[in-house]
Amino acid sequence: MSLIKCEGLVKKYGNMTALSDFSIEIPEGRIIGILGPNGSGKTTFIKSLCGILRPEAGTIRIDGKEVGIESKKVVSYLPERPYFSSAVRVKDTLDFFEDFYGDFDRKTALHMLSTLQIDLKSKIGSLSKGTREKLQLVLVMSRKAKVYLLDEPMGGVDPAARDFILKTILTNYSEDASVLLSTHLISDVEKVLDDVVFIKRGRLALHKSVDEIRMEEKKSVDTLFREVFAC
Amino acid sequence: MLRKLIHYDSKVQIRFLCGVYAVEALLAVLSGIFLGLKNQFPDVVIFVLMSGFARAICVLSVVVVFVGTIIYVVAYFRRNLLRDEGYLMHTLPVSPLQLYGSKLLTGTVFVYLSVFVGYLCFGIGNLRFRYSVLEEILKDTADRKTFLLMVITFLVVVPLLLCQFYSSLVLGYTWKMHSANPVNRDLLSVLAYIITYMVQQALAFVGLFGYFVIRFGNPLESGFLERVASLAGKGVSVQKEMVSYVQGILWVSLTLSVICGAVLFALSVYQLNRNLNLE
Repeated sequence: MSLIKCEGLVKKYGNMTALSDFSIEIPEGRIIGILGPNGSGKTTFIKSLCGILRPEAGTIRIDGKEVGIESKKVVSYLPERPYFSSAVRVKDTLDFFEDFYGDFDRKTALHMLSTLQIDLKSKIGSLSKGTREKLQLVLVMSRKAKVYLLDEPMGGVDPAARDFILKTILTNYSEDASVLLSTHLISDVEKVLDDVVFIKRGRLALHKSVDEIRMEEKKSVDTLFREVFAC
Repeated sequence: MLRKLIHYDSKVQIRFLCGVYAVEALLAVLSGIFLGLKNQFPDVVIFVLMSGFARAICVLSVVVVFVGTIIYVVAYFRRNLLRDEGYLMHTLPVSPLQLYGSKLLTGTVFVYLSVFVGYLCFGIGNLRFRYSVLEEILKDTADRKTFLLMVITFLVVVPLLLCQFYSSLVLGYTWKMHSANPVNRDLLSVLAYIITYMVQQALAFVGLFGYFVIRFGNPLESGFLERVASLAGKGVSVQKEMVSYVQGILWVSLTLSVICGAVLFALSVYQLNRNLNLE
């Protein structure tokens, strides 16, 4: 059974179509890059999976469940923006995740935070943008979820932080889970991806494993992306 | 999960409101001190002036804190469910009903609390907690019943008022756009508020008119004024008749408030369930 199954998704913003008859099946145990140019529908697709956008048509099933309370229990989502109030402290964010997510592993989070030298007493407002992003990633990846949805996790962080983010993703997801990662920084993530999904104007343009692309097309994902989405 | 949400919402809001209540209490204490000094030394001009000034500030702070609490809880609702923090709240394994319910419950409690704190501060600032008007009202059974109904109406109106603001925000933020150019969601919320307010006013007019017709008969039929006058002439005093009339109006507004609040609550939860669009 597919971990994620989407059929005929349609999402419009006014007269602009963000997703058009979008169907995809994603198995478990994969790290999948959701790739496409700006406005192609990557974020819309991810938001639809986690339930903060409602598509006009189509169905979504995650681990066999429709998007709702039960699916949210197994989905760990990292949005492209900071979502904690600047007035709260780092410790409060850990308490919050522990309270609401039964699969949150506080020990893992504490270990990663100490590695990053993030003080639990610090207020979110006092952290730099990059540190806030790392904190959110730590919280999201400290859950033992089945699906990790990471929307632009490396946008706006330095190369050293990108390596930390990739390492965190690789070391924290379990074999029966899948990670969906949307990004523009293809060359950075290519080495960790199992599959790639290209989205072009709201439609599925390609869904292949990275090995297949290398074997059949004799190209890197980055090169293929530049060819498919050439302006 | 609702309990956890209530705990979280209370914790976040109380951090801000505690500071506000502390400032209000401080102003009340200052007012009380100056009033005490003025009573002790009525000839000292500075105490008379300072007492008047401090009392004015104290009364103003009570009003500002009441209005400010409503503004704060509404702003918190917007920030926590419809702006960036919504990305966290709407991905929690809880239902929109619980999210909305928790905000409504905690918001209502904080508005009640601001009234209670305001009453205490007003008392401290004026060095008295007993008011003769209130005692007079509570002596008379009919007046006591009317007073009780007014208190109940106030208790019901607070969540209705919050429902109006919350629901307008939800409607504004889930409004379906038919153009690619996004319209400001807050402006749409204001528009939604005006529409819901007008609908409520129309319902209130119909409700009160219906009550009037039930009570005095059709005003378009002949002899209407005689019917109104005859009620006062049936051996029942006009004052008692007026009290009964006011109580009737309070019951009508209470019923309408409950109905409107329930409709707005259901509409908001439906929108959050079916048409949530965090852009």
